[in-house]
Amino acid sequence: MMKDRDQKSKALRLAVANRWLPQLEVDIEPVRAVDANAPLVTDLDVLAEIPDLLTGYRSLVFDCKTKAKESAVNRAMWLSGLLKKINGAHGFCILKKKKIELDHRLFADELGVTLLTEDDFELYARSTSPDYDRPLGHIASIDIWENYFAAVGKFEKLQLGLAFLRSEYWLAESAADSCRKTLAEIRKLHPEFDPDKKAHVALFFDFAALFGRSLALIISQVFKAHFHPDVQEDLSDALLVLLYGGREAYEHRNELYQRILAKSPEGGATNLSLPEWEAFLKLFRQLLDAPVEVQYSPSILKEVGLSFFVDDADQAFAKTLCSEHPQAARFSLLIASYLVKAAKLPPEFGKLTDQLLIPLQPIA
Amino acid sequence: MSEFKYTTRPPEELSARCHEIQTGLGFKEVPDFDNLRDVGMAVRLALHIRGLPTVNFATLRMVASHYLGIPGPAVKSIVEILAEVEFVKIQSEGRTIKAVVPDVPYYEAMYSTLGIFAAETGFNESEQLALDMLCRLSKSPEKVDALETKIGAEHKLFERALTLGKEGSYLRVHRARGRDIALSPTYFSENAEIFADMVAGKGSGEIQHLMKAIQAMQGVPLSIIEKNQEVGGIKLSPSEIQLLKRLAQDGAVKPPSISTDHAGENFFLFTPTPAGAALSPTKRDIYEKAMAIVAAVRQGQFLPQKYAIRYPSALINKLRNNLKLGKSTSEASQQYKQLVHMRVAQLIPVGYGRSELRIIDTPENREALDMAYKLVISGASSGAEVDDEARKALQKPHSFIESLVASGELVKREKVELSQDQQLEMENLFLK
Repeated sequence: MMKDRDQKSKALRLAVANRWLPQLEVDIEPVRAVDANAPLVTDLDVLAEIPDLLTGYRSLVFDCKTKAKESAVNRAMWLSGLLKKINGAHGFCILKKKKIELDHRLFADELGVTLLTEDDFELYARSTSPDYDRPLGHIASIDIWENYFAAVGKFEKLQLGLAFLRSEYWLAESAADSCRKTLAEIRKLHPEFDPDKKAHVALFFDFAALFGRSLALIISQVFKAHFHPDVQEDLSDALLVLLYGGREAYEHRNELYQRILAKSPEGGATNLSLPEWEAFLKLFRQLLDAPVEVQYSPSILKEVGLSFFVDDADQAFAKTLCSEHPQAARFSLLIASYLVKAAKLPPEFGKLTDQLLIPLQPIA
Repeated sequence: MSEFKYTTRPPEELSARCHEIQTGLGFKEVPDFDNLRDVGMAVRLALHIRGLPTVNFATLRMVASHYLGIPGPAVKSIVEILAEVEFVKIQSEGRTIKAVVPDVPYYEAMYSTLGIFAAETGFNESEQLALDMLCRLSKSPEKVDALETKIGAEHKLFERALTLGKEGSYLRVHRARGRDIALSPTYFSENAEIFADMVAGKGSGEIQHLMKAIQAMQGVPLSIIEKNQEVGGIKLSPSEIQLLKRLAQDGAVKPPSISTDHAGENFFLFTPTPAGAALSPTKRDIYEKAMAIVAAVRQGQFLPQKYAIRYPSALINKLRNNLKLGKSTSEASQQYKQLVHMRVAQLIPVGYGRSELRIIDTPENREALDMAYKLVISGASSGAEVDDEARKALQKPHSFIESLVASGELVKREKVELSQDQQLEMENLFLK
């Protein structure tokens, strides 16, 4: 049984009610570990990504504490340090207390942390989010999250993929890093994915959701600099440099790549690029048409994955999300389709993607 | 007939020609054509749904029929072609298409993919002939007999192809110096009689050379061409320069001109304004604004009073991003006067005889700036072939389109304009 479960459940609901992308339990590992089996540093109870016009997403952390003697202001200072480490925008500490001192709240607010008792949280949620009490779909259900984690956990190799999505993904130094690493991870695991298993399908959509998040962040950077590039080569060049960490870094990697290719009798891309590069460019250019809408695709993908996991054919909440953001609905389909191809998954994943996402597309 | 080697043509050229032919034909029934029309309609539809959210299929049928010249019953098979080349995904119930999810690529991939599809599906003899004709005529008008010789088709087939082209409005024949001259109205819609006369006298080679030179440096002043006998490093012959002078002085449609105290009146030369498939009627005004912007910048580049503009593309890009240059000049009032007249910009006096240019912020002016930028960078504009009204209609609820159709509003939209030949005939009738 997860500790602080009830608080986490409410944090999930608040996130989804506000249409933030939620992630339950993110493990914080040391980024540059010395030890081969480095222990966890800590974990985030609930992480929520708030779509943002300028930055792509702002990260919000919910810290849930049930110990009555927990010092609220000490917790705020702890969370403040953690927020700085992960570039978080704001934190919420939910505490099992009857009261929190006003001066402590004000002090915490200066650190970018909001201190709330459990009762305060309910008031806060209902006051700030009209949808909090409405049906919110499977991504708002802690039961389903737990079942999904447990189900994937039964597959030894795929569990590594889930561990990546629950930890390493969120600690990537940049969106370009997380984009490449997500692709690398799912490609590594592609022989394990079985379209007949619900947990595998849900995991695929989880990968697609977080891949989509990385894309949304990259889109927000590229759009501000390039808007809608007129020439494909310009877009291609700009993306390669950005995805690999700058021109020097790209040229260095490309040179190594070329040398390896030169020794190998097999064919491949002449220059280093993401898999299915032409398809990626096609996808990326379309996402540039509505750079803010892309930010809502990950929630749709996550919800669809969990709906499939629990045999919910109706997908009512997924339909709601799609009707609120029609371009995001279309982008979800395109992102998932690209990922199936790039990750070399069995073709049934492509058909499943179409079967699940096409009916959700809102029609005027 | 020497086989039209369409498989050796760039695929993007094939699909572009199919698009031009289909746009000219519209709803006309032509039993000779099959795959060509499908590809042309596929290009047209793809251009208009690219980047849109999911489209209601019933709305798509109506809009395709009323705006895009695609018959309603054909829309389903065209959507299926687009699905086959992975430009759309289809939402269906059984065999009924409910909605279409666009996944149309940008850049050349759109044309090249459909061109590859077209080449793989193949064309019949009539289609091959029509495509061969248009591929040649897109570069320059040609004498009809020379065209027939170059293509090498059987005379009867060639005549039929010519007739189809004329009746399908994707080809015109002008009479000049006793010769029949064929030209493409998509690429030579303006001053066709001057081009026809040139080809009748000298052949098509010079026109091709000239168009290539102008495209490399759109908007260059005629006086500079005359002085340097070249455009953008490409040498021009005296007869080519003579043609340009005729276009500027004698053409029914004159190029943009700017008058200044220090340089007099100057004409700024562009390749002929596109028409038909290459320029949507809703974009014509915007294209003319784009040419006026380029002309004004070239004035500053080639004929400045004091300091020349060294980087015209950078200057236009600055206007795109900031809607102003951020500094005043004494030349601005004359250099940019036409832009004020066309309501593209305002000139703000700042004293001492200096003015600052400020673009009037409207979607049309922003689009004109984008087109101007592309004209300077690459010599061509893209996106001009898209009908914005059709795209807007595709995003409206189906009930809205139904009510427009019921009221007959959409049908009334089409207007027929007199061609230059028809204009001449009409004037002659009144002269008699």
